[in-house]
Amino acid sequence: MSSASGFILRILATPTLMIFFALYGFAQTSTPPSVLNVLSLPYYSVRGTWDSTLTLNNGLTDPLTVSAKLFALDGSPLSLPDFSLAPNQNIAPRLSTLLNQVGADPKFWEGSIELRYTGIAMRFGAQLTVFDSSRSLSYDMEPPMEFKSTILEGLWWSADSYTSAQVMLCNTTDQALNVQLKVEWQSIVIPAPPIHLVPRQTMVIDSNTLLSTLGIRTEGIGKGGLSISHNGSPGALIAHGVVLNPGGHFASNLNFIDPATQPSAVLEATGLLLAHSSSPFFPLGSFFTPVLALKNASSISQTATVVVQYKTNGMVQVQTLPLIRLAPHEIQLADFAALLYSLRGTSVDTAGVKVTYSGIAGSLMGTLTSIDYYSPLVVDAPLVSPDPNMPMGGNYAFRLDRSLQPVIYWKNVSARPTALMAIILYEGGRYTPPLVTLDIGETVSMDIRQLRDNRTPDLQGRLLPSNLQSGQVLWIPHEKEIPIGRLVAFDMIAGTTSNFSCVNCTDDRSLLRCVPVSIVGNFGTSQQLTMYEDHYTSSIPNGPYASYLVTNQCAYSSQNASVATVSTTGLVNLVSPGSTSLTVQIDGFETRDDGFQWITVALLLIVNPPVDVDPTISVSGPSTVPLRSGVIGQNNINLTAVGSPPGGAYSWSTTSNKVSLTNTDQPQVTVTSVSASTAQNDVIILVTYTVNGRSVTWQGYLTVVKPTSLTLASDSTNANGHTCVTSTQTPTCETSTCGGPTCNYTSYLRILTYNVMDQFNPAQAISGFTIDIQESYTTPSGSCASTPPITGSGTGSIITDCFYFCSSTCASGGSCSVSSQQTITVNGFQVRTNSVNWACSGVTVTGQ
Amino acid sequence: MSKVYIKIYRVAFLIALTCSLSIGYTVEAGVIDFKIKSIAFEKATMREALAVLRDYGIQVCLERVPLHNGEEETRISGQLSNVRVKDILEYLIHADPRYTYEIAECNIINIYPKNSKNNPEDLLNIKISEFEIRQYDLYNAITHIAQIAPELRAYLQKMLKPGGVPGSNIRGEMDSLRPKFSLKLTNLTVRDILNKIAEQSSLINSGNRDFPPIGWIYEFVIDESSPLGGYPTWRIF
Repeated sequence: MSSASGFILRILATPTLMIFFALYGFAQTSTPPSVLNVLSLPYYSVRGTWDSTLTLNNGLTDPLTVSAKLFALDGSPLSLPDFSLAPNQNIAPRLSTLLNQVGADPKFWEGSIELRYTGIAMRFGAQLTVFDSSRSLSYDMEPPMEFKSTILEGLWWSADSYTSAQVMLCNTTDQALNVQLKVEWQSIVIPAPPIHLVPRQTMVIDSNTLLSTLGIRTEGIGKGGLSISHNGSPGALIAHGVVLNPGGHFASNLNFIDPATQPSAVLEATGLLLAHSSSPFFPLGSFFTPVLALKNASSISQTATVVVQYKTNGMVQVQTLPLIRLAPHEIQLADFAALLYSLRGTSVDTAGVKVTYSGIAGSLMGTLTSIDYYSPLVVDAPLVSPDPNMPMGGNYAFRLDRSLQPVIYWKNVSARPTALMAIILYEGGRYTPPLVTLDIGETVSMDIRQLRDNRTPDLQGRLLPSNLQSGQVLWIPHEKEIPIGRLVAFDMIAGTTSNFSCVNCTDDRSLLRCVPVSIVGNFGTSQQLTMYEDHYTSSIPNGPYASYLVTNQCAYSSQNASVATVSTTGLVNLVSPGSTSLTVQIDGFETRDDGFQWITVALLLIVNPPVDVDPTISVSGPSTVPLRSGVIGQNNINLTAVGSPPGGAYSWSTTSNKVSLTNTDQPQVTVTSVSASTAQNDVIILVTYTVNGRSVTWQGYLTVVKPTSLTLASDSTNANGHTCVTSTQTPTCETSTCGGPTCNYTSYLRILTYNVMDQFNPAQAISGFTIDIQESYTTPSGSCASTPPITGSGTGSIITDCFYFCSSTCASGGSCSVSSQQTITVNGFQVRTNSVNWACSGVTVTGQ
Repeated sequence: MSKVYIKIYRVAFLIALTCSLSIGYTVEAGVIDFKIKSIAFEKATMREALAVLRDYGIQVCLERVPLHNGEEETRISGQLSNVRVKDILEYLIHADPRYTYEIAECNIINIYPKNSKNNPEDLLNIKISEFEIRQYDLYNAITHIAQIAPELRAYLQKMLKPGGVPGSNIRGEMDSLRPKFSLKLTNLTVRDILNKIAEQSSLINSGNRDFPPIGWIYEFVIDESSPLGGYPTWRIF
């Protein structure tokens, strides 16, 4: 990515600023300004078997129009049709195709490219890969930026005498440039003849020709350095080169840097392929041999310490290579021999390199390449000088078509563990892997094809589409430390690789989110808080682009431990009824463009989830209450509530007029029936129990059952079951007083039992209540009628009625009978009438 | 059909209207002085009208005017507001002048035919020389009075033709929960004994909502063919 504004600053907040953010939350980040951005790529070629792929990557959430202009080697311009990029879209057109479409003159088969767009700086990226698939050759470049001087430094090395190099110098301006090349050969600086570049001219310099011109006689190109100066403004001249051995399928970038832009005397590289790679897409016989060439660009001797940080079986290993002493303008190769020997038979997961040199920043530069002679494959690992004060992430376009194998590498170049956030954006969706954590010096990789094909869900459970062909990987530092990163696209069929390392300044703000948002629960229970750190950026609208689980990273405290306590892992224990709130906090950072610079601010992310602890209540009692119209019999029930903890206040109520309540402020309420239910459970009973201002309400349902009918349950007769005596204290089913002065004989005894049924259809038996049972008879008739039947009354819901006939006439063998109408009432409701006829031989009972 | 409406000023007091000797509380004001906010009768029999008072805890005992089988009873209609129980009773006996009333045992209201206390034929006037029951079912003590009051039982056995006494002894499975009591009385009429039983119900049931104090109803259905001249029945009220 390029930057038109360029100036990037990182500020760690003062305590005062931290308090401000703690109190007032996040300041609204202003949208970065939209400006005209111009990016230049120094060289492309479609000549012969070469072709070039131009990757354009829109990191904006808006559509973007990019105009492209080609300049032939002689500076002649050729405008291409504008490119229209959808939000977050990347395209990778081949220049040969574009040139054919516009019918370009052959002079445009080589040259440079200028891209223009209007939008937010550093939200658009471009990359050019020049390749020759037939010979497995490729090299690539990204628009250079951040020039501070008019000097460019580079170096080359070669493994054999068949290797040559090309250096392309491009005048990006409309003014002529005078350029001075100096070759550094065996620690001697040899000036080349001055070069004059007309406006927009690109000059391709062959290394063999250059060396010959300078009178340097050597087998091949050996190793040497180039120091370029010009009379234009910084960035007027850009350069790129390639070291080539077409027959050996070898191509390596020859990069140039502006030494004034190097912030420290440290060079870092990530994604170094070392020895046997554990990546499954490399052939089993692959073995990568790194070549690290370093150039002392200064006139003072210095040393360089090379540390190789690699990971095997998940463990980070560190190996320091033999110290390199560099004379002024000397180029030396690092010695990997011992390390490579030790790694025989070991699979290396990832690797990186750290070079620390003794000279001033920018006085040493290098190139790092891994060569696998088995594949064959040549993979550069660019050395960069990271600026710890630049809050930069990256935005890398990727493609999965053909045999491309995009892998992202990140390396922690700081002195403490750190993490970063990566988001895969593609048309129609996004995918957020877990937070990428990096130990000190660790390089981690992310294989996008593997991520797609393994069907690994992201933090939100989303999968990458199985037919995903292209997208972007946006990554943002999660901590104050700034990792370095790049994407390498391996083409395993063509045997080429491409490097993408566009930096990207993206605003990022985070919020701590608590799930649940608030806690409401019963005392004595526990609830687990789950904490998420949600990240928002204007690059990805519509909600957080990433939500990371940080439950175990937060600090917890309770405002009132007598109500609730919280553990270090977010487990909230509800101690007693009441209300309080918790404080959950975690260190966070915010990156934003404050109008003239990008800043990262440390701040405390805080949430205060409220906690309401409720008492508990349980209620016991019947679910039905009998209705009564008379004065005797049960027409009420008791419901008993047990509130906990004790000491609270009870309040019973009902929404129904079918019952009335008494003792509504007591644990036990009496529910008295008023009228019958028209449906089961149509009476709602509520009881609220309140302790310390917190209440819990229990709701229950009752049915007012009205005794409506009887169903016959049994009917039995004992021929001599009743004894008639002259007098008895109590008439029972077994004994009663006869109708006459004296008697002592027996009568039949017929016993009927009934169940009391309710008002519903189908009727249900009413049971378990002390409901009142009464019977009455009409005036008797019949030949023996002389007195109303002896009757009884009872209590309960199972009715037993026994019939007998104490008749001396019957006892003496005579014949007579008594008839009467029996009415049975239950709780005052008439539930049955029977026509009863007592005769000597038995009693008939005909119910209605 | 009849409808009766009533609203009572001090319902909470009603349970105290009964004689609660067991807790040492005596109602000095008397039940008949308590006010009732409004009450209305619409074609109510005397029993139906008195049932309203009963339903609010006032113990009422009714000796119904003897009627022939199937004879229509006098119906009472009216609407009273802010009246005492006494006013209601006066209204009722004014509506059916055959009745009179008195306060019998401990705030128990007796309503009875004007001449019944002097009627030697009235079974309630039979003197019982010795009445004793032990742990007897409270409610059956009223319905079984003809069996458990000796002189009354003897009189009925003497008067009735030797045909037969049919029995229909209904019970419930929770009869053991019903209040039971013991009572020994001498030289009281059947009416007095019934009032004593009603009084006992107020004593032994104080506070028991399922088994509240009760009164009694005595009905005599006139039937000239009966040796007794009719059929007596005693029921709780």
